[in-house]
Amino acid sequence: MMIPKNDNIDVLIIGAGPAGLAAAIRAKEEGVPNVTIIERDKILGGLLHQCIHNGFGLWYFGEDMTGPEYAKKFINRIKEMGINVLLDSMVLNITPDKKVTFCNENGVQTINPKAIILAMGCRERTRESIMVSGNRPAGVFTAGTAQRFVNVEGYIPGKEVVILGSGDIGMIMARRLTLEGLNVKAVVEVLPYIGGLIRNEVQCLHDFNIDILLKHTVSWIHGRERVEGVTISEVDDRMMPIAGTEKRVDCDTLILSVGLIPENELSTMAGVKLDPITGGPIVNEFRMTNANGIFAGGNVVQVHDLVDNVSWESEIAGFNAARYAKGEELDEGVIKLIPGENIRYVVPQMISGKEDVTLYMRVQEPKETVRVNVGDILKKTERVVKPSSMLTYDISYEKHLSKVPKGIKEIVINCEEKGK
Amino acid sequence: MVNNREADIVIIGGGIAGTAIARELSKYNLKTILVEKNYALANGQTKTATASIYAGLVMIGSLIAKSILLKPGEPLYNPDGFKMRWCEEGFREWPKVFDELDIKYIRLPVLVFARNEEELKGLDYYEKVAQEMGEEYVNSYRIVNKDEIFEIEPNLTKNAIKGLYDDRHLVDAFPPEIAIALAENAKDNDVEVILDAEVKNIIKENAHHIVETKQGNIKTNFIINCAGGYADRIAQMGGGSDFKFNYKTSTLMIYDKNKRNLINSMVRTPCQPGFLEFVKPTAHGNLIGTSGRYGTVEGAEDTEIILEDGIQGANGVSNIIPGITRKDVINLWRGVRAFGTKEPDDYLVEFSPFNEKIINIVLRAPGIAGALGLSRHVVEMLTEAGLKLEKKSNFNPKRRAIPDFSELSDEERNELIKKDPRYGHVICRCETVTEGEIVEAIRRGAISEQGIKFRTRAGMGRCKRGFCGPRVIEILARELNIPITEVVKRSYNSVLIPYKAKELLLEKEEALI
Repeated sequence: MMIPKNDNIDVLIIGAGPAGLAAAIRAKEEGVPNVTIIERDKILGGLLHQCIHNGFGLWYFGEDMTGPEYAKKFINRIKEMGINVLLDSMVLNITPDKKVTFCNENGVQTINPKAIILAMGCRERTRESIMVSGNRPAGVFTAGTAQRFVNVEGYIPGKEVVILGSGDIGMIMARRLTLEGLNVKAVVEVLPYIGGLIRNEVQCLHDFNIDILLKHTVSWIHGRERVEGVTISEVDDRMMPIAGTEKRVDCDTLILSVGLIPENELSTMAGVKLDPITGGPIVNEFRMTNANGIFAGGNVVQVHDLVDNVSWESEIAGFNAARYAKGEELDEGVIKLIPGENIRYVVPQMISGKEDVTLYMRVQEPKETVRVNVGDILKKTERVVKPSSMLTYDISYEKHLSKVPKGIKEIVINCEEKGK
Repeated sequence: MVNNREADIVIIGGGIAGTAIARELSKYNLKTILVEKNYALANGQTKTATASIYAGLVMIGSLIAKSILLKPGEPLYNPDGFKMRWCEEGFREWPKVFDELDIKYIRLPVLVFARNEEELKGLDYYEKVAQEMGEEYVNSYRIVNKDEIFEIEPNLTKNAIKGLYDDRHLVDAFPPEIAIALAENAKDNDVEVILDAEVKNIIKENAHHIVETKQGNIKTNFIINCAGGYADRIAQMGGGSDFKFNYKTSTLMIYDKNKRNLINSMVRTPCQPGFLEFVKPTAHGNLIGTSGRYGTVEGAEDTEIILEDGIQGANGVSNIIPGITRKDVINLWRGVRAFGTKEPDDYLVEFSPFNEKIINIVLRAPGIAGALGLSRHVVEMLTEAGLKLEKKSNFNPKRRAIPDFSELSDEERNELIKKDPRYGHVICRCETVTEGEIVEAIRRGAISEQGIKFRTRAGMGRCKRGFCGPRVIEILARELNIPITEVVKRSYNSVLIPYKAKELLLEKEEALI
């Protein structure tokens, strides 16, 4: 592998998934000479390669693509633009003064780029973290790992499957495994509603007659060495299994799709402060963290449900990291955005109030016919809101922010039921 | 499978007892074979232990907690029993052995503290027990007031009012690492270790015995039964068993390394009979904690996790250090502790009353601490039984650990990578484990995911093999030259990925022809 000149990197992007690719391209478009992506895998594209289903790029490209096709579009641009790429290289450490240590088969190296973009994506919540009762046999997989086995490695984890959690990857795997000849016995969801997108519920579960058990959970895993079955129970309002409702289902595989966690171990090393709700760095509208010159984009900041949003959001980081690398002064975030009624979080967590900004947010609970109020500056009516569907609102400087009184320190965002 | 092996001694079981004895016997000119039923060593009680080697304050608490096992009238502290003698000895001796075998360990201070009247009484009881145990224990700790407590542990619950502090009587290591290092050193000194060799039967043949295993028969003179929670079954195969087991359980939790800096010592509330509650750092930089009563189960295999116990445990730990929450738990398990019915409060180490060639061994918690004394005692027993023991002139007491890439300096890393570029290829991202380390683990005898995990820590981090799982399976298959569909988690029937893509579709098609 060629090691590019690493001593004068303007913008270093950590991770070559959808976030990293989009951020790199956007940074390069701003005209900074040395944009470098560092990636631990042997190829660019990250998890997109295992997402062989469609539905990618509907918004970003106005085209319905598979994951690898979506990745290819960006990878072609990366090559055309002359963006440096360091593959098969693992970042081991980042310091608050932006010294990045990584290793690969050539050795360990430390570089000092002008700006860094964190684009490591997210990881899956595990059986251990949600403490599913029962044995600890082989045959329990997270949905993403199962997806990698099936779509990349060409292996399948078992014959009869129960899926716990109705996140998007879980539902997509229900369909994928059915097509591979496996018997998907049920998708079990602890909440009273599906966790992923409606289109996946319809296309992956309903179209394949896969049973959905809402307000249920896997309360026991049977089988000492390999999964032999699970017990499924109804849950109470605290999401605890209700005694007397147990039903045993024989299966040899349990797949978990129970949530994603932004991957921020490197961010923490760099002294980046995290938002306990999103699990990602606290960022301003430029996607800069509290650490000067360290930016973040995509699922590192917040777990998105659409890759199109990952690309868009990390372009913000790419654009502004390039501005920073060129020596441009970026205004500090002085106005805090506060999640109010039925709002779980808002990203960015703070804004300067001087530039256009897109707000990303999720609600706490599903509600129908609501009004979302961004302080006094924007009011939007929504027919249905769900925690699984991210809300995005464009706020313009001219139309909205310029009217905010000077000196204001925070804007509260509420999602109120209409008629209140 | 190799039939017709011959040995002077067969050790049954690759836990802490079996591996410690194997290493001790490897100092002599003997043919010793250790057989283990699983695809990985240390796969029973040893892997579920907390690996504390202690004297002082922790020992006082341990005696109080386990006093539920005492027979009526039996004293809490029996300095002449095997367990106490070897544990006290072991506390002094283990660090030397850890150094010899390149096993990672840490020394930890211990803070036992009280939050209320009841726990204050608990501290008083500690002091009373210490008096009974003698000067050494009385002098092992000092009383600390509220101010001192928060100096020692600034993140402790604000409810703490008084504590006992012992700054030198706890050593901590990773249990499977200890057993594996002992076995590796024994192997270097000519002991044969056979995995996946479950013992099916023991047959007496003239003056010898035939141990029938899944990997073939072994003709042997002596048998050392170190089968842990299954020792009664092995004793039975050898002619009869005069003991059974009571099985106690407790749930232990491992916390994310990012919480490591919240505590400096083992922090705990006073032990009560049958009740334990603590959180402490591990040798590898996680935290391990528990909170709850001993449960009672039927058998050695009743190790299922129970959600409610996990929640209770995590809440208990949060009530000690509020900054550590259930969200920080990255692993949990329910450890089974087998207590022999014959000597419930001590180790059972004796020739079977039914067979003069079988030594039955039943350790009980704490087991690792006393394993060195045990191993020497077994050698004495064998000598007394007429086995001629001759020290090897070329015994090598040293073993080198697999290089731990995550702990090396950049210079050392570069040196390794120059020698073998696979050390530059990180496979497990959470624990920073490289391909070089994994390949070396396989060269040293790992044949399962668990074997790799125990030797290198690949898969022990927060993502629980989500990222490294497929890669480790691939490397195992490649290095062992087996199909991916035969790679196992820890035993022959724990295959991880049983089918190739399209295989099931073909099966379905065939059914239609």
